[in-house]
Amino acid sequence: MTIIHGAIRGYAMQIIYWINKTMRLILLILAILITNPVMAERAYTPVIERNKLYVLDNSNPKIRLTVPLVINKTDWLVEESLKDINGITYLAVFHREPSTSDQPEGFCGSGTELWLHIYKVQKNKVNFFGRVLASSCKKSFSMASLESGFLNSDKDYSSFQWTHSGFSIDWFSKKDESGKDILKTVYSITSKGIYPE
Amino acid sequence: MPEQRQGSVNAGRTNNTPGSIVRVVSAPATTSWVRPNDNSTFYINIDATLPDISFEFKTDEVGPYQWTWSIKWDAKASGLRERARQNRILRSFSKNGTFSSMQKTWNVNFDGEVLGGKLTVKVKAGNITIERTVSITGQNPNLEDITTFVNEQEDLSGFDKLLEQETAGKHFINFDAEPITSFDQGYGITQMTTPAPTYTQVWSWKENVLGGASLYRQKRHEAENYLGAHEITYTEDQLQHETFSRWNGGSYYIWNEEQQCWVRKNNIFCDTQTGNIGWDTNIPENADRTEDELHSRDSNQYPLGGAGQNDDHPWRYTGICYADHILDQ
Repeated sequence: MTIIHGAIRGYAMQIIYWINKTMRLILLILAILITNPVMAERAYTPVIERNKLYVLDNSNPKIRLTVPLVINKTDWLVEESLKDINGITYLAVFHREPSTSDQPEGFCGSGTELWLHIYKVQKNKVNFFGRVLASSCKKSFSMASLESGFLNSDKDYSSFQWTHSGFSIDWFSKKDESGKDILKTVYSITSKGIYPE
Repeated sequence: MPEQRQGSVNAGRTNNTPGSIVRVVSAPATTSWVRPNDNSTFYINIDATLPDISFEFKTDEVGPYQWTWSIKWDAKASGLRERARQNRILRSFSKNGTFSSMQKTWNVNFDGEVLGGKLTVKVKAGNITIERTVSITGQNPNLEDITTFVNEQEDLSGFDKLLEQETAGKHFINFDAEPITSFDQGYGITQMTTPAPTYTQVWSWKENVLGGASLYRQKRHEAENYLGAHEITYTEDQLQHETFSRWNGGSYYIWNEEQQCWVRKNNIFCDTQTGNIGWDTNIPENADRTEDELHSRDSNQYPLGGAGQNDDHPWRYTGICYADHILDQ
């Protein structure tokens, strides 16, 4: 009985072994399938060094592309994920600038205008592609995540999201020309520029 | 087309015959101004209405007469001080009009607008045109007038306090009786810059208040949305702090999850000797210091503005201190 039992246990263990192996293989394939697009979108990695922004090519760490920012480090923030759209990689950088510099004690004297800058990474070069006003003291609107009221929400840029053809922004207090509330805008990135859908 | 100013235009003639007598006839100008005096100055009324200005001429010519008027003002930076302005013209405002009339009098009316500057009026009678220029300037309302006007408007509670902070309730520089103009083209009592004010919003303090009021309402609406995001009631005092802070820049409160209430951002420490300067106490250089210590360290840098803010002097302008200064002083 012990032998039989042992034999049965041996078969059982072999079956479990093969099931485990097969499952691991399936999981590995699934993992590759799932992560492959993400890895494709992260072929570049943004790196900040000494107040300068670079994009590293993941497939060749020797390639280090300078992002042509015209502003110092304290005024900008980089969205870490880059996005592939129609074979071109885009980088998002938020740039904050004073609303007005002449009248600090006046309207928006300590306020800021937040611009979303989109850069195009292509052919070993990074070029400025376009920009969208993402928050404005002067125009009294903002990204929703910056206005949640929670601690450090003034650094929360999560209302910006990449989409398959561009990006979207959820708004706080934004209105169209007729005064109607706009909760979200979806933007398309095409070869000609950035357009709200 | 002959153009003439008021005065003698027909000189007498004599002859070359000794001892003869020449009869001299003085012929008056056929067309000339009766009023107002050339280069006279008129003041916009305290209630922001145009003064009574009447242009009248006399002529033997038969109507209709062609009237043309143009008013122009070159905006130059004044700041808030009572002194001569800078020479550089920041923006030119102008408006003109023309009409035909049988009347020899025109009571100035700019289609209902209240405008100031150099007003030039021309009248063509027959084939003669006469021209006259006057100045229209302003005079400041008193604080009670402003408060009364603000309180008559909807959703403007607290706006008069803000105006007092902005310009001490002044719309005109008394030195030249022209509207306050900042370097970044903020005009009048509200110092409105965006949207760019119209000619009448620059010269009428009431129109200026109403123009600035739309911005104030936007900020108040923004503050209501912000404070209303959590389902608790907020007080008018909280709403004003949030509105005033946003008027100058940034939010005043953060949400305290534990206590389920709005609390002032506690990392901003204000220099109470200023209108909106403070320190972020999350920055190590600012932590655990008294207001006097921080003021002594940084106050010499204040006149430099943004250029005076650096790692050694990490002060900043903040709407939080702006709101505290106006509401809690």
